[in-house]
Amino acid sequence: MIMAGLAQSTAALSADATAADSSFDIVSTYRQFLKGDPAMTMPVAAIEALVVLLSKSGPSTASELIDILAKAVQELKSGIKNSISLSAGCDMFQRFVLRNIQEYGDWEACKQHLVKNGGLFLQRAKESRFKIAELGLPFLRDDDTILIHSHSRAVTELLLLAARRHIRFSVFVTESRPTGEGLVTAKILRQNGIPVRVIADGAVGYVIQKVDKIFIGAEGVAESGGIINRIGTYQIAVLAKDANKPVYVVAESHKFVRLFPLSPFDLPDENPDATSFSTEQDQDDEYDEVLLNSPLLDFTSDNLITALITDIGVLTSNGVSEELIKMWYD
Amino acid sequence: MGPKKGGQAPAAKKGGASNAAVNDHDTEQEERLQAIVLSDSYQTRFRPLTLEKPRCLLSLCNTPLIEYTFEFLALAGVSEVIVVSCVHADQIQEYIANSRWSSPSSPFTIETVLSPESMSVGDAMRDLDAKGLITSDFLLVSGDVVCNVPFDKVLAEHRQRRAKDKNAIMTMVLREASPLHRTRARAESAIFVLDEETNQCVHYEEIKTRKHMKQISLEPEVFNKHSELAIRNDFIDCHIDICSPDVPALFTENFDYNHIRKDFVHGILTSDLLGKTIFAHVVTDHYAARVRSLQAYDAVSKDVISRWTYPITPDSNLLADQTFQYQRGHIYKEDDVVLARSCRINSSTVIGARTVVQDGAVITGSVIGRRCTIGKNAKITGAYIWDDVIIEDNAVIDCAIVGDGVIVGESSHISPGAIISYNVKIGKGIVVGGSQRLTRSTGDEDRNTSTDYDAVGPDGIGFVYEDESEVEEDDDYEEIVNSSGLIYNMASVNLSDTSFASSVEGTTMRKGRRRRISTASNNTAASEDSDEESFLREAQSSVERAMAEDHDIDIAALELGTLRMAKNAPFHEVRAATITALLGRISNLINSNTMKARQAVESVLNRWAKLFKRQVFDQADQVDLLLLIQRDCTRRMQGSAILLHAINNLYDQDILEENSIMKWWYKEPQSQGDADMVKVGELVPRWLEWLTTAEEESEEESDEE
Amino acid sequence: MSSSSAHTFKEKERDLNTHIESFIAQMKRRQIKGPHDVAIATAQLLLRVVSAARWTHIDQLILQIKVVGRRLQSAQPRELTCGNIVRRVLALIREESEDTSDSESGDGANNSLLITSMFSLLQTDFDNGNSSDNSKGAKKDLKPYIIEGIQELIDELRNSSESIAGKSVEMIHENETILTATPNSNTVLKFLLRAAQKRKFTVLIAEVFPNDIEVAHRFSIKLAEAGIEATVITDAMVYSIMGRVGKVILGTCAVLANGGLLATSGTEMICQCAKAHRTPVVVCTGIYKLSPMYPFDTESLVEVGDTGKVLNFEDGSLVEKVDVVNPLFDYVPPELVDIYITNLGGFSPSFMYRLVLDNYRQEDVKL
Repeated sequence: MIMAGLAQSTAALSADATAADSSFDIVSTYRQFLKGDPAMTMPVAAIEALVVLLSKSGPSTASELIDILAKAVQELKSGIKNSISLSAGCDMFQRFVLRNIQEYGDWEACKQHLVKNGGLFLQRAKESRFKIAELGLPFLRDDDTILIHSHSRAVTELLLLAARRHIRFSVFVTESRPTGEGLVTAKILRQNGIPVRVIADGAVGYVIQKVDKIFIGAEGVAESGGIINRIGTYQIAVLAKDANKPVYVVAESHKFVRLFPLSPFDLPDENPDATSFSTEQDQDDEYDEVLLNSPLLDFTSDNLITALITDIGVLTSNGVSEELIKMWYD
Repeated sequence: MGPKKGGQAPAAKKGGASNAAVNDHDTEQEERLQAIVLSDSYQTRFRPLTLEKPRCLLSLCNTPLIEYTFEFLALAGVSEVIVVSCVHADQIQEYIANSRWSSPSSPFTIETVLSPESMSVGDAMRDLDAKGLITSDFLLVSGDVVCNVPFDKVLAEHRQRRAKDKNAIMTMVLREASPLHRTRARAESAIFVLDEETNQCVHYEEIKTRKHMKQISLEPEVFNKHSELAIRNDFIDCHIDICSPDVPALFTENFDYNHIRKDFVHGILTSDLLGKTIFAHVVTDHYAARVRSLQAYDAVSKDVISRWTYPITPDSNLLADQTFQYQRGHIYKEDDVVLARSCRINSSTVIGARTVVQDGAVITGSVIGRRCTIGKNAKITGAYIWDDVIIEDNAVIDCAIVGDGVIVGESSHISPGAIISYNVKIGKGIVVGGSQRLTRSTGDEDRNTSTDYDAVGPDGIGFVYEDESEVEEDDDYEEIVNSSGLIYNMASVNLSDTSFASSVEGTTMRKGRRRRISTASNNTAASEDSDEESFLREAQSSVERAMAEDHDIDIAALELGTLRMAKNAPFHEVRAATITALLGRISNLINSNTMKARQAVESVLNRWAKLFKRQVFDQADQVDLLLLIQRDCTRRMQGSAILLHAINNLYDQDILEENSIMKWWYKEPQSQGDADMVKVGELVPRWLEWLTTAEEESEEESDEE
Repeated sequence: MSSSSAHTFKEKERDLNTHIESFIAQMKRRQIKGPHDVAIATAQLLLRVVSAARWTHIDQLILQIKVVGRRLQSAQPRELTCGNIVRRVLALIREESEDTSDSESGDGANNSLLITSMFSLLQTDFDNGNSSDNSKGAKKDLKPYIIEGIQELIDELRNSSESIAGKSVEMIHENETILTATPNSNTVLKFLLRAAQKRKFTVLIAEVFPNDIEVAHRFSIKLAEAGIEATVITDAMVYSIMGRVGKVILGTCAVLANGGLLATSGTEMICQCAKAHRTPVVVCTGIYKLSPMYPFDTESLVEVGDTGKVLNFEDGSLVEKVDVVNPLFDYVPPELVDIYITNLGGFSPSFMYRLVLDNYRQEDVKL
């Protein structure tokens, strides 16, 4: 829900930059999907939007189809501000279509198949979270104290399943400024009887000794096995490394993206304001400065991550590259 | 790998095949080892729990006891098991038939033998002997042994000895353990005298907790035969014995042997006729124990939980349907255990499948069975809770055994040591005392089985079990009371181990870690004694001690009896010893001027003459007794007076009959044999005169009437 | 005739079940223990299962093996090699069946393999038809191939320590000081003995109290007999002596998917010491010890052994008052290991992931 909200707010910032020259507006379709189902993730929404596009447009040749797709993807990526996980979905869809066209020769059949099964993808995407929860369950033990950051549907799903399976643990949740999404997580967990303490982002160092393990979600998983996630993840991972606590990333495999960032400044959504300096005092609202100029995502390199819990198994960071290589270069 | 494959593959394949073949061959080549499992304990210590279920099927850490025994036998490489059962035989048979031990994958063949009449180990052995089931050396264990000792070495030693000497009929497996070790059965500790070199057991003596044992007696020849002896009481004796087929035969020959140690081992060792020898195998690592009392149940459970018995631990999941997993702090939990968020499971705890522990409950060092419900804020400490038990909110259970299907009401308190048998229901807010045993079945149909509402509350079901059989069963009631409970009643017990140990330490040299008696220091005193004299001395001191400490007459008599049996002494000597002791006391009293002769004789004989009732059976015995008294009196000051009063007193007490006295005085040449005898008898004729006149008078009186 | 064959089949099945059950019981009793013995016993048992099995579709065989494998593994979940061998056999069966179906249909219809699991989001069951077509072909006497495959696996198990030893000369330099803390490892013993044929070096053996002291002593005697200068040192001495050590060579009970390993308790401490002194840590392991399991919870992987090895049971007051824990293994995280020497060659811990993918099928990881 918050994701959808965020997408909305970011979209509001980018205002009416999306000029719809075709009759079909891919961006608004994408937004509708996100709004309509709070459980939907951005990559899945992107895939769904692209499927709708396919069903509406009638390309006559394979290359035309590919062309249309590429254009729409471009449009989406530029139209939506926080586009990392979205681009993962787009990339995968493109690759899939390409591959099937090559293999079937008959792209019409392929298209038919895709359109027909539109709803199925969504279903599967949701199921993959349950699968992750099942796979990740052994990581949780009785009397564990867990630290989580911000709000991640995959992490929440895992914790809820663990609670249903009578594993007894307690959770520290970071407030995660500026979005404050940690409060949402806390609410959901508490509703399900999991004891939670919300801490300020600056308090992670204070509690880290008491924590047994750290679970974080991911907006996108880079080729190196590092992750792109809500701002604050990197510092938590560094603290965890220092305190010798394991950091587990919980993410669906459709969030693997073909990026190889080395620092947060390599991310497509880099916010230059965040690193610009000013001598002017903003008298009206100091809080606004943080809120408006704060970057939303950061990059956590693979050496800080103990393992990734995905729907295709528990992977090391090498495993991520392996999967991506299989998909793109086989 | 590629080039090697061709060359080595055939060899490896061959190796694989022959490996399996070798295994088969090994088992064939080895002598088949039989094991006799005595499923009955011939005791009542676990009552009322054993009224409905045999002891060997009681659960220990959620696994029936007998599984531990079978597992041990499997580890020991036994190939044939014979289970002897009497009480609850049907249950045992059914259990075994449905267990994995009767399946083809079982490492041994198993057979149950009914022996419904047997009341003791001896009976069972005689029954086995009669049935002719024993064909070779066998392992004798009871169905409540928990042990992980690798047996190949023990067995090899035993067989080696047997090969050398056919008379080495038995090897006892003993585990070293310090005095007051929790796993030792406190009621049944014993002293073993072992040859240091060969581990031959030359003497066995049971320690009674209640009596202060200050000494044991060894035959002097023992010291001649064995140059180094160790006298030890630091063993857990869990009655794991390797026996030759002679053992059951010997039981048949000596039909009064009941107990394997007290009677059999003691009997064999004290009898020169048989010439059989018994050896001990002292185990210094690994684990061996027997659940023979409730305390042992407690101790062995703790040992299993803290993994002394590895690999026989709960997380080995001995039964196919068990799913225990080990967690830090010796916590074992099965799958599907539901723990509320705020309950606390402390260390050394076992929890069975589908048990629910609710909020705020605290469980410490306890075993909880399957499908139990532990209510909110209940507190369970050191307790043994079996299957399907419901413990309601705020109940407190402390060091108790709670049987299957029990319901413990809200806010009830079960005190340490209590035993709650199957399906008892305890109402709200009841306090169950520590010595109470609650049950719903007596095992005896005629007895009243109505609910005792004082004990279990108005909404409860069950009554207090009172055990009267125990009192008769053993000779020492107090010992039973102290030892049979779950909690050892330390306050009321003489710490037999330490007191004995210290006295041994005090009187003998202590070398190294083990107590041993230096043979040199004792040899001189011992070897001068003839066998007879040693008995006399001992019996005499036994009576003297009884008088000095004012023992119960029965106990004194028993002790004398035991001594006599131990030494195989004739009654004549028993009488001689008793008389020497009694007259010695009388003459002490007279010499110290505390009493006159008559008073002294009466004070002593009135109290102690009953001893003779178990020593004097017919006229010949009476004459013998008189002669002994006469002889003894020759050595005493005022001997004639003592003799006179003694005869008078014994006559009054009906120990001596008139005829015997007459026979002694007039017909027995010895009574007039020498001057001393005559002199000491100077007062007798007058008494005889009085006797005859008294007789006549009474006859006359009766005539007149 | 058919009835009699059914009869013998039933008998065979019963016989097989007996074998499986006695295997399980022996595992529980620790009568079969140690990765090597467990691996060979498991492979031999599976050989039996396969030879007795009847199937119309290869999936039935796979299911059968999986069911047996699950039983075997749950007998002693901490002997990871048992599960490894089951998975190896499963992978082998899958490979054989795919090979045959490939050669028969050959139209590349089994692209299901190529498309990664990430695509599973988009895939539907449209290529199911193919696999059912394969069934008839698959039935075509795979048995001898599978049995041969298992035989080869057994050979590999038997020879693995030999082929590891073959690499020893490259690893050990002249006059080097080696420290080892896993005297129970036959692989390490062979490794050192082989190196001793060509090199002269010193070996320090940590005695690893309490479980392997006697083993350590026997181990050192064997080394000494082979002309290696062998010194037994106490565990407490490891840190102070590490400065003089050229390499730490260890054996292992299991290697995990993340490149971490399980070895005799005390190993982690030694690896940490080595790290502090920048001493390289070399781990010798047969590939059969590599498990596709991820160490979710390292505590649950560690078996806790006999308390009596640590304390004397004789001492009643100790037994009553003191709690003792005797873990048999240590989990060593991958960052403490420099190289794994396997029968397939030397690999870095991060490469173990790749080896897992080569040797096992993802779908078999969870038995």
